[in-house]
Amino acid sequence: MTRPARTHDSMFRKPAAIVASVVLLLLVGTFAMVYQFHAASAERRRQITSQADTLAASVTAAVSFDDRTAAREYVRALMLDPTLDAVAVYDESGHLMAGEQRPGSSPIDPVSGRAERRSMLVEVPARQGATVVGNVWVRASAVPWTMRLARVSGVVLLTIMAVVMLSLLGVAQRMLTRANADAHRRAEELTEANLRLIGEMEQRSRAEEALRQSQKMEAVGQLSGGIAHDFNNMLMIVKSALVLMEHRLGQSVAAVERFAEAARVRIAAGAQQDVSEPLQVLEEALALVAEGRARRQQIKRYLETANDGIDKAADLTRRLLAFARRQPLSAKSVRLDDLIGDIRPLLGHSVGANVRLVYELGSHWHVFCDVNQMENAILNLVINARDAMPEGGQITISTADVHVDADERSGQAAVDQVRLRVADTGVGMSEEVRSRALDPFFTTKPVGKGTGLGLSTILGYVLQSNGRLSIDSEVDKGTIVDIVLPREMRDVSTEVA
Amino acid sequence: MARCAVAILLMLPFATLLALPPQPDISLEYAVKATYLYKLAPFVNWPPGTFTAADAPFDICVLGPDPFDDFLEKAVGGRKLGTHPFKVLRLDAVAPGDDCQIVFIHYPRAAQVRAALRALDGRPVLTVTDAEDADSSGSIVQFVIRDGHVRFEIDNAAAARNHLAISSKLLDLALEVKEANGS
Repeated sequence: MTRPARTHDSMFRKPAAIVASVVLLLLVGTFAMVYQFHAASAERRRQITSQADTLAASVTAAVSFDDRTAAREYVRALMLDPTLDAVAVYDESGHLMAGEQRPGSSPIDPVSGRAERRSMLVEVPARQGATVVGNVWVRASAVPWTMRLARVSGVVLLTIMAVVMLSLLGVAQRMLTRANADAHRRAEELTEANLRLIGEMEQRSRAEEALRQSQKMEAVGQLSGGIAHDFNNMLMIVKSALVLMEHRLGQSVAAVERFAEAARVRIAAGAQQDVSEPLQVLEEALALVAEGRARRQQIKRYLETANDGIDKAADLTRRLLAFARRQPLSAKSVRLDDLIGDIRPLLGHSVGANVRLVYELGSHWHVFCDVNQMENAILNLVINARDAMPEGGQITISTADVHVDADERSGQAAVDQVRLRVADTGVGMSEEVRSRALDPFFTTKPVGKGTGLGLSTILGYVLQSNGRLSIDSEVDKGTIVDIVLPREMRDVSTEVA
Repeated sequence: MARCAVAILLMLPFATLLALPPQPDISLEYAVKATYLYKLAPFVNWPPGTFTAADAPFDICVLGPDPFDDFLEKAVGGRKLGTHPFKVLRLDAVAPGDDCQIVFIHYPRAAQVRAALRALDGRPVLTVTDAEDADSSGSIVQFVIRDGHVRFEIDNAAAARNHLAISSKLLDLALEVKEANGS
């Protein structure tokens, strides 16, 4: 923010320069005026001196030979010049030969005249050759003030005009600077507005992206939810068929075993009586029973496998339903720290020996969520983390209370949140993988090992709980998954009850 | 000019009446004339060679009986024309070796005056006479008394003969000027 400072600076500096110029100009003007006064005065003095010289040159004979009439005539002739105030001619011994002055003016007195340092009174010796024969005094009439002012009016006018122009320049400069500052401020405001707009656009694009994502999820959820229900029903049919089959199998086994038991008793009795023929038949029957038992065992294994598969399928459909949010949540107020504390043994079992689990639990606020689903989500995240670290490593499970200040720009109100973070030191994800990690059925695991529904299920659950889920990952730097849930503000005591 | 001359002639008796009778007046008149004598010097353009040296004295000579008493000495005392100090000489007659610049001729007889003027004719000498004296004509400057004031007439022709140029300012002040071809 050096610019406003600079504008302020220049606003301050330039008028100073103009004021300095004005002062300088006034000084120069005054100097010129004084100079002109002096020059005019000197010029006038020179004029008078030359007039006195002329008189002195012409009056010498009259002075020498005491011809006062002639001297007076010379003096009168000079006094025809209206700018002269008084003229006097004295002989060498200081006697007045001739003197004239304007009415009202005092006659020239050489004694006081010499003391008087008036610029417009000059004394010139009257010389004939090298001989001084007397003195001539000439006094100029005082120049009226109007005349003097008129003389310097040019300089004064020029100075005033220059000062006015400079002042105008200063004012214009100031206005220009102000306008510039205005324009600058407006440009800054525009830039700010532009930045805000860009921010809003980004936010909007993110929101649109999120909307698209959620719509995609919705569609997938609806589709998979619909399928899952029917699929589940069919699974149940198969399951019940299998149960019936097993039941029936058990029934037939009991009959055969009974028959086999009877046969074995008969065979034992027959062996004592040495009845070989029918025994032969019984033994054959027993062999058949044994064969049947073996086959049953086989069938039972198949049934078990089928049951297993059905269970898995049922689990899958359950997840699908959860993802599609068709599964009702039994939410309640709970502290995540307590929840994690409860499943710590389970988590410990689910990771291998070469993975270290670190807990950094620091949340005190309550959240409102389905405990089972939450446990499931944490377990899933931990398993994902484990799978990302085939060489082993560390999984950090942390919780924290987060207060988010109100954000004017996005219009976000202040909010309290609880953050659950599962961080691993595993292989991480590329940006491409990360962007698709939440898509349902997207998995990086080999076919048959992952369903691609883990994270998407968690996301579905988190969104259902008014929370957010974010993934931060970099290849070879590990992955951080954050689940942020809003703080439950209801009184804790009622939840405990 | 002619009218002027007539006026002078008419005034002359009165002037002499005014100037002559009381003794103190006469001494005052000559005191003024004594100052006029040396004051004439700057108004004359002396030809080159007038002075033999830069500090050569400017000689004012009085021919005949001296009417000035010691006025002339007092008047010129300490004064100079340029670098030339004024000096007063009293002579009985004009001698060829005299080096006077201004000669005041005051002989009682006209013949003596004329002789002196003749002797000085053509020499760079300003001849001065008193108009009321016997026959003063022929001198360059003649003192006259007018209205109780000492004035003078100038014979410019005589000046030209003596190779002297009289300042026009002096000529302006003269009661009468005789030019070479007129008057």
